[in-house]
Amino acid sequence: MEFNVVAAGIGGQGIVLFSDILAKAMLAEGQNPSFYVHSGLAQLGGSVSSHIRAGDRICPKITHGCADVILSLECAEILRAVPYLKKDGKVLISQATRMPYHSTLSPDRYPTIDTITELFREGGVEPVFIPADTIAREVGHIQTLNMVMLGALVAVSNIVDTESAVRTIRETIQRGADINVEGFWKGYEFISGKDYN
Amino acid sequence: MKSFITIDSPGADVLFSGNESIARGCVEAGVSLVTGYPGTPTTPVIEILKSVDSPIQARWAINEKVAFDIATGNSWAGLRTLVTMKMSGLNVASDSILSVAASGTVGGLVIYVGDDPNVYYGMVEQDSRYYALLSSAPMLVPANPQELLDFTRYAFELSEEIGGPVFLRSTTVLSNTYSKVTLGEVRRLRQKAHFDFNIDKYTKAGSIRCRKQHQEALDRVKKTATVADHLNILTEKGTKVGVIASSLAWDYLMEVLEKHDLDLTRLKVSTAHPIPGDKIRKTLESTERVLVLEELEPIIENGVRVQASMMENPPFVFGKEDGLVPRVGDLSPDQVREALSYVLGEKIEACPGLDINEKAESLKVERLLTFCSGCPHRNSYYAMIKAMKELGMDPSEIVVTGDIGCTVLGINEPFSICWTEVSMGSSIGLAEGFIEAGMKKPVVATLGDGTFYHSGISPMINAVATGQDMPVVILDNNWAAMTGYQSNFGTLGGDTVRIPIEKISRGFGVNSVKVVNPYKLKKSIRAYKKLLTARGVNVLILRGPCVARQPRTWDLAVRVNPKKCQGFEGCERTCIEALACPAIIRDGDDVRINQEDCQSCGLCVNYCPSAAIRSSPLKIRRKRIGI
Repeated sequence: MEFNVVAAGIGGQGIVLFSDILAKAMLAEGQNPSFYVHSGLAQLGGSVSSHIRAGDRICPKITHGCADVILSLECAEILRAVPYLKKDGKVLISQATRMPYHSTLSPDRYPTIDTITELFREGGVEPVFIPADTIAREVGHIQTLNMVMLGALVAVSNIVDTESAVRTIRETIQRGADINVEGFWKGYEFISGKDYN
Repeated sequence: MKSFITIDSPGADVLFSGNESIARGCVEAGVSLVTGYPGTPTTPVIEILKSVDSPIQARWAINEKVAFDIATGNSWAGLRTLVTMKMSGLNVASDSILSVAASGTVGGLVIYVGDDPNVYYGMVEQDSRYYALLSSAPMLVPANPQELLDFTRYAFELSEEIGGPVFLRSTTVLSNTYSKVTLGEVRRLRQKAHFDFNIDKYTKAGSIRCRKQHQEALDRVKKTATVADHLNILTEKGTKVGVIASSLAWDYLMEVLEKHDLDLTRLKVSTAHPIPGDKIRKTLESTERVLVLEELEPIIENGVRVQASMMENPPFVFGKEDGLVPRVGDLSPDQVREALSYVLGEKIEACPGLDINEKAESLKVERLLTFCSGCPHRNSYYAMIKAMKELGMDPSEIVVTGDIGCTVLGINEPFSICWTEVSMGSSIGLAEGFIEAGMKKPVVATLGDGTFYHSGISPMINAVATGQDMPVVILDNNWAAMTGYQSNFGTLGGDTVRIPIEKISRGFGVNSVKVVNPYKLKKSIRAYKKLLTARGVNVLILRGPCVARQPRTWDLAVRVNPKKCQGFEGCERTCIEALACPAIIRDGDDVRINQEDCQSCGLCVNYCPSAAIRSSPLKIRRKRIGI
């Protein structure tokens, strides 16, 4: 079986940890995962993306039009992942926004949720927006945003069992594992509760 | 929990990045010393080995040349050594590398170099495989994390078998790829240092000696062609079209072949130097059209063309020389599919995606690199510009040379004050050149603490010795920040003896050295004004630790008073425009401070023309960490 996810975000949001936990959970279930993080100078607020794969081949990059799911931890960053999406693929977008300098000066250079929704509808796909930043703050820390999105991904894809995902979160994150697990469940419930499957 | 890097359980499957695989490979090979200089994508190897409990000594050197010299000494004493650097660092170390490649080595000596096809990090897009040809030393080019581990272990055996250094070359994408890796056995070599006193081998005095060494280096490459040939794998399928691919291009090729059920004759090249002549010849003899796939320069391709030129009826060779495969940027499965379609003469269909790619591209948000919120460098550049203006100078007419690292972000808006970026420590030499050329004074050199230690010391001595009038601004943030906070010889709390910049510069007689805290804006401006008008070489060190590494836990909360704030439209030059601080956010016409991001550096408090931003003590006082 082949499964491809492209995850996008910006530096500091925890894309590497997101990918690491997902891939480790896959490995624990006997799958053959791989991921590649394209970070550039992301530490300084630049874009980060990660290609996460399960399957027999070892090829770091996902082919255009082959991703089962694309998701972003920052709203506008989803646009970078668009070329990878399959025709019937799923789109998960965190509503957290991070405006760069030029967009702040002229906000029309930053796409609204409506613009993004309209774009995906043109392609025949209904994107799912998740208030991941709000959920993460409610859980206790903005840094759990990546786990909220991981929960959402697991809910739409069933790529790993929730049990192995939670176990991997606890094994990987030493400090604050509880709120991260809670974030994961909140993200999972956001999708499963609304029957986006 | 015991680390997977050092655990002795052969056959276990773990998830490793390319860099973790190399670190593990060193443990399995019984390496005694790993040294190098931070440079993406190779940095993590030493950081990983420093963090685990293993007999390997892992440590950073002042620059790549020194690292390589240390590694050579260790190898000549009979011990196994890995030296790591990015491609730019290889240029720095190359003087010694060429010399040692001629002399040969004793204990296995492996050079791990990371190239950056597509320039994900910013520097020259360089193909380091040329160094293998230049220095007559073999180079292995793995294709995935498992091979990175296996080839690292093998590279030490190969180095000892042929008696010379071996290159192990990875790329940004490969070193940052994580996949399942099966561990091998951990070896512990009990080696004792021993030196064979042999001037014929270890010196270059005399042309007979040097010519002999040249021949020996060539012989080592020749021997590699035989002993390491098993790394190159030829799969003959009797097809008219064949493909020769190397490193990641091989992964992309296999992705395309398997996805589209194509079973072509193919040759995987894992030794970039020497290339496998016999297997290439075999591939050429059985096919009519051959595609060569590799990232960056057509090195293997030209080797293939040489082989073809020695045949009576060679097949057509496709690749970069004919423009089919690009030399600039990295490759992807999609590019490989298109090139293969052309060579096959039939279209391989792309996966059906959404028809909205162009529109998505047009909506994309560009993220200009800027300083982190609270970064000391923002304050330092702000103060520099302010001082210039107060002195009646026009900042746009002053040449400020920049250097490598976070400090060069002064090139971007809103500061737009740095104008050059060449190589580590080059800002001082460049400034001297501008001054000699007769540019209007002052010509200001800016560099970071890391670049100063790496290569900034000799040009500064040069400027003092030739009697220049040059302000040198050292933005000292205590760490090699851009590569992930490695400590250098000036780091407070670092792991070596500390040799402060001010002591070094005073030692060779600069006119004045001043250390200022960049968060004290008035003091900084005053120091700049003195610096910009002084004669001789004067050094201003603006010292504040990197906030990404050492967050400022000040007891202040910075807030905007909405009653005083003129609003985004009403303000002549808003704080957002003037400072580009990521913690200041715009909400319609309102300006707010994001408390999650704010490091309470106070620059916006100082800047605000309406005095609308204030800092007030937090109720819970936190201890301030810093210098």
